[in-house]
Amino acid sequence: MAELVVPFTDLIQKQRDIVDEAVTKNDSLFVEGPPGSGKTCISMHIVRALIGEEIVRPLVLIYNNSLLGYLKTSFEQLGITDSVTINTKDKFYWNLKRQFKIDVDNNADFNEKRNTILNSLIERDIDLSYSIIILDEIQDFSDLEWKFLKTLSNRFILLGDFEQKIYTSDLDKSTLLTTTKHRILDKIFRFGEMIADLVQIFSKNNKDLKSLVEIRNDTTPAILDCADTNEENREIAEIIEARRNDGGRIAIISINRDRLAQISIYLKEKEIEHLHVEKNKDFANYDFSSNTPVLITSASAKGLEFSTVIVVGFDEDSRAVYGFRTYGGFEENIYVCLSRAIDHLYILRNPNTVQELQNLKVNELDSSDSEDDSWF
Amino acid sequence: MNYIYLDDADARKLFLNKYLSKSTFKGGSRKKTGVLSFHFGNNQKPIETMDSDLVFLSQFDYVNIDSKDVLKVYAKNYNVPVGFLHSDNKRKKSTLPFAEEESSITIDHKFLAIRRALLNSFLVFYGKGIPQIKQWFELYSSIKVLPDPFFELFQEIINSRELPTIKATGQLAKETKSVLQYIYFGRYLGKHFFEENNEKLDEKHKKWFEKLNPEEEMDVDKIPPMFKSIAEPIIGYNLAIKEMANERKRLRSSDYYPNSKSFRKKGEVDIYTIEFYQAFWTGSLKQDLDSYFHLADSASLLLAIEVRAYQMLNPSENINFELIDEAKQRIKKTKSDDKRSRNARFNKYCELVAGTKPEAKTKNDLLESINTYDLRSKSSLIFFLSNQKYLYRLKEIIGSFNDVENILLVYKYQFDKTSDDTDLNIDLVLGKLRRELSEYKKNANVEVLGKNLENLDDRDIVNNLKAFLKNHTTDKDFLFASDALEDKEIVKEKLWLGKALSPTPLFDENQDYLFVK
Repeated sequence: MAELVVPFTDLIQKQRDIVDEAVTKNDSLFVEGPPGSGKTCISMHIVRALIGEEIVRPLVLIYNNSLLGYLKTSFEQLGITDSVTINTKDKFYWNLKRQFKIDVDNNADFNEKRNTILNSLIERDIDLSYSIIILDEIQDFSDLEWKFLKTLSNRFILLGDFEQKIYTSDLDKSTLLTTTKHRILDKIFRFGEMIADLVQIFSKNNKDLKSLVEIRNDTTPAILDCADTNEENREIAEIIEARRNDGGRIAIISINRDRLAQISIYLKEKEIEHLHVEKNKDFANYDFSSNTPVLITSASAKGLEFSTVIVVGFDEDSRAVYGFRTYGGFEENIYVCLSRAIDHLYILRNPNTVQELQNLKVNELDSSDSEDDSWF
Repeated sequence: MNYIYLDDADARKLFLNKYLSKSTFKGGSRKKTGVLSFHFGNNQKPIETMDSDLVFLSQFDYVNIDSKDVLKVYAKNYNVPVGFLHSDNKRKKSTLPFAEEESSITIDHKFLAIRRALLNSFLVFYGKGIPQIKQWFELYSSIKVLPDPFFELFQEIINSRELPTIKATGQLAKETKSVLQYIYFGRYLGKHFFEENNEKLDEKHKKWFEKLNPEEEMDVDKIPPMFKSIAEPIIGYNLAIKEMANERKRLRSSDYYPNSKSFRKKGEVDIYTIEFYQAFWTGSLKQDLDSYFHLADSASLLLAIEVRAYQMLNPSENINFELIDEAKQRIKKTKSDDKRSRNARFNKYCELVAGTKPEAKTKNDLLESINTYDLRSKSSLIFFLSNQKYLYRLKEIIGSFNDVENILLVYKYQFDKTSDDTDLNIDLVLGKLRRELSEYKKNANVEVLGKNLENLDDRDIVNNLKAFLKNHTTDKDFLFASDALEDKEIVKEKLWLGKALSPTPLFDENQDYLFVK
């Protein structure tokens, strides 16, 4: 079983200081940092440090189901099972809507419905309180959501990065700064410089990610050019076979859900164990400490990290690519895929792969391994 | 000198590194306040080196700390057995140690890795029987330094926290981790021994090394000249790669994986030495061995291992150390005399072990102090409720005793599997109970918790009870009441309370042993 919560002694001093400060000073905290900077890890350590010192009944709200399974497993490892409530934020509001029989206009759009629910909950002054509330990707919450959630606890850990804001949200950073202590994590621990170079191309902010990298390994991403999707499938099977005994978690990430379904069929034929869920909500109960390779969309992979990441299925003629190109978020999807990898990153391309990935080049520091066919 | 006195910074160093070097140690025959007093075990004293004095953690049988708060900091953050830490007063310290510390302690990763490596080699031989233990002591006596090319490699292992691999790029991108580690090792040997051959193994050595591929059956025969004197550590290294790959396979599969040793003994190599090195390399990476501490019978052995680890790193320092004979006698005697050696706990006897698990301690000692109906003078109340209709009982109790300032209500419920909806349902029930009680007893601090009886993991409720007790009461100054109808239920509630009275949070039921000398 993979350990999800790294030991306290493995944190860097800055991270430890944030944990100590949050615990000893009883403050609410807003932790900002790039992907892989340890935001989620810090929040788990704060909770861990509170265990046995004060009553711990956390509410954790996140925005997608895959992180739900990951966090549930992490809390289980800390022994917090009965006292924690973890949910995606919208599901949490809609559950409350059912409990309190709140009427919404079925013809209204999603945001309007949510606002109706939240306004109604604020008016009702409901009997709900938590010792601490952790909100992930706080930059994607609305002002009204924040107003409601503030009624449920006196203590918050807010995690996010306003520079990576994807959705249009009216929550102003300064609103948070008036009520929480702002701490910045500016180092990336998840991946090395070579991956940072690739991720940078698709990053929305101007920070030089490579300069933030502080990593023990320097994994070179592998770009594998294939003749077609059949060859991609074969490559995926071979990579899984090679990497599955490494002990880390493997993800095959794609923007395109249909492509993942195809890959799953192929892996089943080859009797290669893997997890493929029809609906994202099924990730909620997936044990994220298991090492079973998982097929996951880039949207669901946000916030997660894997030892090995295989990026596939960014095909120009797919509906998903068309949709994201048209309605926005296409580059963010690539960004998410590439920035999930800890040890190994494989990018599979075929002649139909989008130009953005066709243009990628790995600037190999040492190409001797690939040219020399002799092992010793 | 029965004790040495260390300040917080030195104590941290000793706990984290398991040894401490100073020009001289201050000590005395009594424990002292304001410092940590480390009490030496039998016949122990600081070990003299050329320009400093050394102490190892295994030389001590306990440490006295004059504040329970400080004790908790050590117990919680420094992986020290609870029973190793003594404190006989409850003085609250206004400033905890380390709160104002500017720099963190430098960890001696090399020493810890060699300690783990040697300890693992011993545990492997110990598990096999008396002849093997004898072999281990012989190897201990003969292997005083790591053969020349391996010291640098050892540093690489420590840096990468695994047996190092080459980069999985180009043609190698789809090779397994064990092959990447094997190639790294082959290239490392080439770099070290064949500088004139472009740092590549020559044909004869390459041919021999190719037969040591950890993914295939190994053949160790016909050792080439340059590798003759170091064949055992080389073979041991490749077997370590294989062992670790098998361990990874085992973790992800219930299939049976054969023993990693897949070659027959050949006249040219010594099988015990190979096994020693295999265990040495794998052991260096087993972080959990840092949590192995000594008991009285194993103190001299662990000390022998720690001293040897220090010697390997500081070969120029002449350390006069004679304990190995005592260690030998004690271990052999224990192994042959005592059938307990067959039980799992004893086989891991160096571990953070021995004695009473919290449950046993609870039953024997703590429950007596929890008197259900001794109500009059209590300021805190814990009530276990399984049926909401009995909430009136709690109200009756509260109504009878004006002194109650803190109330903790534990609501027990049963769900096969909690879903997101049931979590929220319970949260709302808890919220309602809290409001009702807060309105009934307006001046009291009211906390409400849930416990799912279907969930066999008790850590959650125990740790929260612990927090309540810590913040609002002492172990005798609270009232405990319940609406449980069965004795079994009440016993379970008492057990939670009993566990909650132990000094540290419960993170792992299996490892939360108390240390007994």
